[in-house]
Amino acid sequence: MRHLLYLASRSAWNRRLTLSLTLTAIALSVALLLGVDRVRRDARESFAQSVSGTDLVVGARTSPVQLMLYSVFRIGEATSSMQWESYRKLAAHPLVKWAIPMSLGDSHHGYSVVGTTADYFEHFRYGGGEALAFTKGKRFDGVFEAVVGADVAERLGYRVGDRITLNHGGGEMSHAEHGDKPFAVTGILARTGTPVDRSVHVALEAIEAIHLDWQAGAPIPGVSIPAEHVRKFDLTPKAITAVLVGLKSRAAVFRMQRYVNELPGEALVGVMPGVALAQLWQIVGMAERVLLAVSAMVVAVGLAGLVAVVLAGLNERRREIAILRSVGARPRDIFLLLMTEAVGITVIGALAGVVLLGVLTLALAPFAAARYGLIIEPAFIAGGEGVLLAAVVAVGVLASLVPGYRAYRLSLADGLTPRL
Amino acid sequence: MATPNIIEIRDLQFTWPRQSAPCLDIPHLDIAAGERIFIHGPSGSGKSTLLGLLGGILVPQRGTISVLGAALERLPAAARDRFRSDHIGFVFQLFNLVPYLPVIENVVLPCRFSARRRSQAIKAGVSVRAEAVRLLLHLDIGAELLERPVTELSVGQQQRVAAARALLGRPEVVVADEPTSALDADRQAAFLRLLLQECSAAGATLLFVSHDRRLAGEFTREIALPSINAARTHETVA
Ligand SMILES: Nc1ncnc2c1ncn2[C@@H]1O[C@H](COP(=O)(O)OP(=O)(O)OP(=O)(O)O)[C@@H](O)[C@H]1O
Ligand SMILES: [Mg+2]
Repeated sequence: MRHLLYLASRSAWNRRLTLSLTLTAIALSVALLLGVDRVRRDARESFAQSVSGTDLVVGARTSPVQLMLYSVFRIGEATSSMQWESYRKLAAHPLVKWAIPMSLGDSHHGYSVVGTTADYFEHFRYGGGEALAFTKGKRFDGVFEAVVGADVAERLGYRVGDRITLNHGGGEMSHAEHGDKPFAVTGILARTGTPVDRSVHVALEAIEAIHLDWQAGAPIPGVSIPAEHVRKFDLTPKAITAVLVGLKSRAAVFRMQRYVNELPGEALVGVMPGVALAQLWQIVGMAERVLLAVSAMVVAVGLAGLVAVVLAGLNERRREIAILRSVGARPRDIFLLLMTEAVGITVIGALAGVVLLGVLTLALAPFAAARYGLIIEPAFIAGGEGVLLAAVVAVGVLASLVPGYRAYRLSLADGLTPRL
Repeated sequence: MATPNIIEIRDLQFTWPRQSAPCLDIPHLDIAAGERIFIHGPSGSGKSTLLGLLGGILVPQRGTISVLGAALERLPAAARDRFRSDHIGFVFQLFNLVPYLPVIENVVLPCRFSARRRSQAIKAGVSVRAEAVRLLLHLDIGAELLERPVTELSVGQQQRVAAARALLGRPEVVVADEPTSALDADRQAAFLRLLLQECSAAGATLLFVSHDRRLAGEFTREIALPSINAARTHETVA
């Protein structure tokens, strides 16, 4: 067997240009397949880690998935708001242990601004039930104070005491500024691996204050209320975006949900995070399967290319096969020689794909985390990827049977004198 | 005492697949150890086919072909392949060498497949490589060519490298199928001289196929294949 490996590698080296191209194709396709799978798993993981301990998310009536997306994951924008009065009712309900009001819609360099109360730092939980912690500074206290997430602080280089201005509306492209009312950074949160890292937290009153001289999403012409005068106004919000609710007993969640859904005065919805996530995966699952199937097909194309290249080379190698037969190679050896080549390229290609993906995820992980809040594990092989990889190699071995068998037949038919 | 004949053929019939008439029908052929046989015959008369039978690549449908006392047709396929690498060295007309291996690797190839050839090469030299280098030198292939790709050799050099490979590890039989037909007259003579010299030095029995009957004088016996082959061959004399 060793001499066959030697021959196969020398022969492959002799045709390294064509073979390295097929190897590249396989490496890329494997990286794609594993990458799709990894992003899929890591996306689920980071979504599942984003909220914990919240029994209900309450907001204006919309689909549960959408409510979760904008209130917890800060993806997309709230289409409608709920009344402050409803929050008061919820918070006062005997079954409710805590209720965190949230007002969303403004942004800061593309990061979302969350208007909330001290309850947020008190009761919000993520991951396996961890509470928020400060690396520097403390909670906001005054109206024009802000607490920034770890990513915001790191990427924008903020320190406690820095002054920042908020933008109206979301996205990095938002130009309308609340430049007249700067905020002081009072605290920086420890990294959580959740959307909290990419949020700027201010008091609910602050959201009211910066919009005092605004109407219908634009500054009221000719009206400008300076920051030092805002306290003369009533800064109690009239509307907020959503409420995170923790119950005294989980068992009461359905009763509470019914209470929310039937609250008179406005159409609200209470969503259990786990249920909404399950719905989300159901919607996304279809697309995921299609993506996986397409990547699997790309791998199949790569392997078909390999078989084609090895088969095409076979005709030119009939002379060589006859020589090997004359020095004692069995037809079985010829079969193994061709198998070794094709399997070897599959395995090396697959490993190269793994390394490529590892390097890519290392390089792109910070970007994916900052841009999409996707925490990609910088692992070379993770989760079910071993199974996928084994499947690729298994299909590669099966595909290699084709040139192997063809060479076997040729070596029997040709003997010492190939008929070309 | 083993049989004095190194090759014995009795009532051999061989028909190629999908052909109605046999290609070879040889009632009787004996070749003694140490003979140098010159085999000739028109193109298509079955010379290469006979060599394939001797090498155990082809198996007769009838009769027996024994080499060194072993009836090849009764050996299992793997044993025949083994037998070939242990006891027979081949030289062909053209393209004898594996294109992706350098000169020295082409020569030691049989020793990769046959433990017997390897141990005999080591016995003859100090190592397989040393013995290969010695043979190559005898065949006028200098040390400077050892690591060269074979594709850079002239045809004459290629044939001599192939001869060194056929002789390495002292196989009992050397089979050469028109090894000189790609060479010009001067080189033919030189190549043949070297081959004969090395075969006798190694004590190998030589079976040499050629169209060119001018070469026959150097051999101990001349066999016209049609004269021992009872099968009617279809092709006309070349
Ligand atoms: N692999 C094969 N399959 C089928 N028929 C074959 C095969 N090889 C040879 N033959 C047939 O067997 C006959 C003898 O062929 P062979 O090659 O033995 O002749 P040869 O005497 O060596 O000729 P040449 O001098 O041209 O090399 C021919 O008719 C040929 O068509
Ligand atoms: Mg021939």
